[in-house]
Amino acid sequence: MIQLKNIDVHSRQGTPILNDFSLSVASGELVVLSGPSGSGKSTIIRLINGLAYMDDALVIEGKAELNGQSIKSMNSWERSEQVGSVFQDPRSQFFAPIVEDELAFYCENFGMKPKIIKERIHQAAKEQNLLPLLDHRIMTLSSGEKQKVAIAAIRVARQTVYVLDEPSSNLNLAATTQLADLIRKWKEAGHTIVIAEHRLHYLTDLLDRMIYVRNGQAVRSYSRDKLIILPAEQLAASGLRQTRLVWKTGINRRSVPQNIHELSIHQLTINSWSGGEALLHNLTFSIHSGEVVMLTGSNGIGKTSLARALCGLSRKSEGTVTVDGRLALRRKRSRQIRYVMQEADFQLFGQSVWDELFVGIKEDADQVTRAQQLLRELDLWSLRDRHPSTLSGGEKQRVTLAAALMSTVPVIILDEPTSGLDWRSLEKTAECLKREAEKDRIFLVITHDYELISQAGTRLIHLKDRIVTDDFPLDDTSGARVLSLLTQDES
Amino acid sequence: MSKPLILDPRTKFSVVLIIGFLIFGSSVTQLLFLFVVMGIYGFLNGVRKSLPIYVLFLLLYFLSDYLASETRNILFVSIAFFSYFIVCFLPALLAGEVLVRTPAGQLMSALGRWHFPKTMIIAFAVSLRFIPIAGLEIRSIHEVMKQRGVAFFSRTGWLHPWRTFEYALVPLMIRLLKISDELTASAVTRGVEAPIRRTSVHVIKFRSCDYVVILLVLALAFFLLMTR
Repeated sequence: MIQLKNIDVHSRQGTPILNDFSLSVASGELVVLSGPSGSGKSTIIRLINGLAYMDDALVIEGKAELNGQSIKSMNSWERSEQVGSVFQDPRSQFFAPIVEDELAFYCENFGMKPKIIKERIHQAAKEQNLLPLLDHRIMTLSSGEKQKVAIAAIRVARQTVYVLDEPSSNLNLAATTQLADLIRKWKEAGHTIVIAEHRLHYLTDLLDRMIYVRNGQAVRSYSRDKLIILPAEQLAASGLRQTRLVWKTGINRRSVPQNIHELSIHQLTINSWSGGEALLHNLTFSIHSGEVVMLTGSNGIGKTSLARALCGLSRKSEGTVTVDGRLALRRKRSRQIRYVMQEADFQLFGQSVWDELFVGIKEDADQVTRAQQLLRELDLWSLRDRHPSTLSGGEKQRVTLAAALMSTVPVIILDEPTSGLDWRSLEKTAECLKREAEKDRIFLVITHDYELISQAGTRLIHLKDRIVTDDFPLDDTSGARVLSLLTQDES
Repeated sequence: MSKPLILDPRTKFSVVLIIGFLIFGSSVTQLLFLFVVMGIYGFLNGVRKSLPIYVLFLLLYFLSDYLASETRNILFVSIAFFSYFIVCFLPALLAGEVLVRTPAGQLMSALGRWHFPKTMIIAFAVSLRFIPIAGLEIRSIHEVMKQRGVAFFSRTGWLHPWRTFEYALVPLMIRLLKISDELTASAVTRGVEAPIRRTSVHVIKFRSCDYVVILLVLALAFFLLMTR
């Protein structure tokens, strides 16, 4: 079905990306590619759907075949009839403002009759439970729903080969489970599937083979049975995420309350954009330094709105926020509370990683030592002269964290700091959070990532139905409770 | 209120074109007449909330024109001068607003019917999508700049405006490059390059009201050109 033989890919400047890579996927097989960031997984996906051949910056040697036909010699529309591609970030894939028009895009390009287009849209939307959303604006949908629209928009073509590039990185646990159900259905229908993914837990029971890719080479291949029995330490040593969601035990989560800093929220109400009913109602809680608080809840429940209100970016809130017992006024809050957004590209201004840490900060002796220490701790020291835009996703997210840690703000709010990260980056981030919290910081982390909560959390606050429904310290026995809260979220 | 008129997008395109030509060389009375006709056309097509703003501009022109001729004050003269230009374009703006309010899918369908090349149709769709995205990106970048104390209206912003400009521009460029890259990938893997004439899920066709509107606008054009 898919045959990649002795593939060599390097950039025009000579940087190797794939090195004598071979892969053969039989018809109806589900193969998962996993490995550290920057190992070449995405390039393999782009070889199969032919995008790599359209990239002028790449030099490709070797034979890549799809159903016995050379992928290179096919036209792009011939490839799209056979291979369906799902990408990581559904936000930037849409052409139409309305769901129905988006699903029609493929059929329109192939000049189908309106009646046939309607039929195909109906079928693809039904498969993804999108029928009630067909006339909705795409901008107003949740990430899970957007991913469904992106998948339905390729399903109208009825291909038999599917390639997915980190499809779960913007999804919460409930949406990820739905994705797994869909992939199971496709597999039962006999489709051939190749997935590049860091999160393995939802694929462990479905995959036929997992290929461990590192430095552009297929290092090892695991069958499902072999993968399941791989011990956690060996996975972690290879930079792979968990194959089963296991709660980390035996670490000290009981932070010593030092009471250096305290963030208190009293009767805080977050109003919605449209001016209708409030998103969150009368929130009251306080956090001390030393704590790493995980903030969870469904998409669109108002976690990001809460973060924006806390750091003073949004005016849509009522109630009081105090830091260290003193009232923090909205306009001055940015000096005490820093919000690190999910999207790293927005937040990188400097000409190099080193430069980045000193945006808005004076370069004196103390700060230079601090920067050196932070870069070493976050495994960024060797990258300090690189331009931030040339880094991988995980590295960028660590740079934004380092930049936030350079300032002296007592409270740092992180929004999904580990979406799309490999195990090594996740571990580095978790360690850094714990270490900085022990010093004197307060961390509030918005996340869906069970593995991050397990590694770094000391307390969990869960939002549901406009209020805090659960607020408890995490210990060795919290695993099951956290998992059930995360799976109850709406997708 | 009654339901807006449903017109074929091609009719709306034609109205914009004809009115666009007519506003050049029209006298003030003719412009006023055009404005009234386009006001009714806009009202019938669901342009209702913004109608008072257009009227306000018109009133501003008459007021400043009156004051300018009475007092000969340079301030009123210059306001009258500028508002005259705006008034010139008001009828075309009204016609344009009706067109812009049409769903993108229907506009693309109309362009397809007119045998526009596929590349132009896709470029049109992408630019419609790009403008709101770019707006959102700029806002997010400025929020980050605010937090790091390098926003346009912060101390650094006043002291080093060029540096602030660079801080805003670099991430914006990188984001837009990335988005255009991903959009292209999404388009290419969905057969955008297929050498087949595009169809559309939206069936558009001329109804009787389309013929009526086009005939009326042509009659209007004829009448105005004859009375010049």
